Amino acid sequence: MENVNRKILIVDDNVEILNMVTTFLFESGFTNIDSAKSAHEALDLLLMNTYDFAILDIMLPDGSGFDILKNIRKYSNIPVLFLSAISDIESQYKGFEMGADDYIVKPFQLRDLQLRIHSILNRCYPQSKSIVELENCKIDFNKAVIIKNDCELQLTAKEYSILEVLYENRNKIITIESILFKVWGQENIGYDNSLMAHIRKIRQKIEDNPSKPKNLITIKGLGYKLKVN
Amino acid sequence: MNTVKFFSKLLIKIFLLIFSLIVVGTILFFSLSFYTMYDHKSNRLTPPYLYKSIIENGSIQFNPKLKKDLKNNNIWIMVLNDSGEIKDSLNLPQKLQKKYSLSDVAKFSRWYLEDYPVFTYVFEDSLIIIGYPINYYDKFPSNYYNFDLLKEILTIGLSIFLSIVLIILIIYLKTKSNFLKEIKPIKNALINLSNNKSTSIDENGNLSEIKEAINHTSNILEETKRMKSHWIRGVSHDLRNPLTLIIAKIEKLEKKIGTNKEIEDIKQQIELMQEILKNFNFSFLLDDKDYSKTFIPLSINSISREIIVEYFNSYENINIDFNIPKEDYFIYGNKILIERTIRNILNNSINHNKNIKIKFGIIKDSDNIIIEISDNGNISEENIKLLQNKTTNYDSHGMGIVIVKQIINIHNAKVEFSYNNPGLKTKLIFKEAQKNTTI
Repeated sequence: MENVNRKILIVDDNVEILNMVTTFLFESGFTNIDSAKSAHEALDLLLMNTYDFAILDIMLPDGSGFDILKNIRKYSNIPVLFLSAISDIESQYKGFEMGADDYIVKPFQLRDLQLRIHSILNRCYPQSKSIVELENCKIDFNKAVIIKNDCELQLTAKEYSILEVLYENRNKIITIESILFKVWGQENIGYDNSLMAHIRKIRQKIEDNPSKPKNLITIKGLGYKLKVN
Repeated sequence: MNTVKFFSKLLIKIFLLIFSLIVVGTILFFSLSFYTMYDHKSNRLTPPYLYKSIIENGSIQFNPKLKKDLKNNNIWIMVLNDSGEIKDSLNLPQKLQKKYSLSDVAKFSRWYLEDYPVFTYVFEDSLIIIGYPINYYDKFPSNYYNFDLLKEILTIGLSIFLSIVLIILIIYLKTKSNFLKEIKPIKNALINLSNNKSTSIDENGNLSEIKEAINHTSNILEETKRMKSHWIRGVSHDLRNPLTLIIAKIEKLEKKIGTNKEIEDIKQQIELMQEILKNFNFSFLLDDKDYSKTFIPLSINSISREIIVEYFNSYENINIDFNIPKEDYFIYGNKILIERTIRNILNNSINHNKNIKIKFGIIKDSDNIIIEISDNGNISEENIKLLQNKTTNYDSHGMGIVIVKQIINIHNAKVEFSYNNPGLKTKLIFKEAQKNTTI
């Protein structure tokens, strides 16, 4: 299913904001949106429907977004984004501890909201990446191969994971720490050299000249960037 | 001098004063007593002095001066021979004119003669008896002592004295301990209040009115904080929703009619209001909570890298020249607050200057970790001095720096602003933490 067809629940007690966000998401291509003005209304909707994503305001007249999240988490792991009218670190901690995926503080740009929604949906409902075109080669994520000069070069599991992380952050710099964390998990200390070795091997597969990379470039002192057309 | 030391010293002074008074009093007593005794001894009418006067020239003689003194003071003298017969006399009362036997002499030598206090001296073969008016002198019941007994009595006296000293010492220590017990919770409560923390002490026992006042003050402080928090949250909340709608409507308008100067101005003002709101709320939260409990060892290298990458990814043509060492440096802190500090400084440079060039470095100086962020902006030296002294701000441009200072304060670190000629140089100076796992 395309992410724009996912069923979304939006909850906010401010009717104007509720209408604004709903309208904006419709205009952005989302086709399946329900809205609620209170915790009670939201819980009723949750009883009757199954949602793929929820955008919850924290301060509601008859409860809080945290109450709704608690209810959702009883039976589902759908991604949740909090809208907050208070910039409060404690609330953020609480939201994340309860299982929220992201947090946006009012006032926000609608574009920011849209980017976050897409980011969360892509993460939670990853679309098949199919074929990604780089300069002089292609990455086939479904088969885990590099297609270069009509030849298929198999990617190892770690090479695949690293390329996946780089692709998720394509055209942006991603730090070495982030790559290590996402590929090797929390216990990633000591794998720096391993990462460098894998990057070298990936370059050998995707670059014409691995010593002068054009697709997978090193940003000295920071990390790497995968350039995708 | 702290409270406990002050009251301890006061107690010591009081006890020393009492002790000194006792010692001085005792010395004074003995001194005056001895002086009085000495003064009396120097008196010409004492028995030894009179005896010397009588036998002055080697024989028993009563000179006119002596006679006069004796007569004026009703003192008499009697000289007996071997047989107890009166050889000579001076002012002798009539009833004493008789012969004295051996036993008479023995009796009056020890005690009295017809109630007259008498003193007996032997001169050659004569007995000189000096008699004083009745009650002039009293004789001790006992004119001998046992040295061991005396020693025992002195020992008892000394023991009692030392026991008293010991008791005084115990009383002093007990008083001090009781006092400290009373004062300690009060002192701790006052320290909590001065650190903007609530406190509650048991009002029972001594100094209850002080304890009540402290608890009452704490309640007022808490209530004020609650009201302030409620007000700020309320105002913050009430402003954010309309602001969100304004942003959305401007974006819609921009899509409809395209961008123009007025729309750009409105968007700038909205960004300004967002920043004010963000910093205003954050500044309050920093005062309100104790973030030091959330501190963990943080890799400042890792945090810096993430932030710099964020800025490179967000700003297309940003120019940041960074120098992050390979060796990881750690500080104790709250990650979100440290990130906020660095971002506020970078935002300050970016927002107030066009085409800015930023330098970002991390250095270690003995046990300090220093983050240095400088730009080549157009801030004046005068404004930099103002920045260094800024603690409050009602202008949006400076609020970020106020928050930086609050965060630095929470971390017991230092921030220094200086002129980069041109531009601003900011140094964040933290104490290095022990190396540990990073976040």
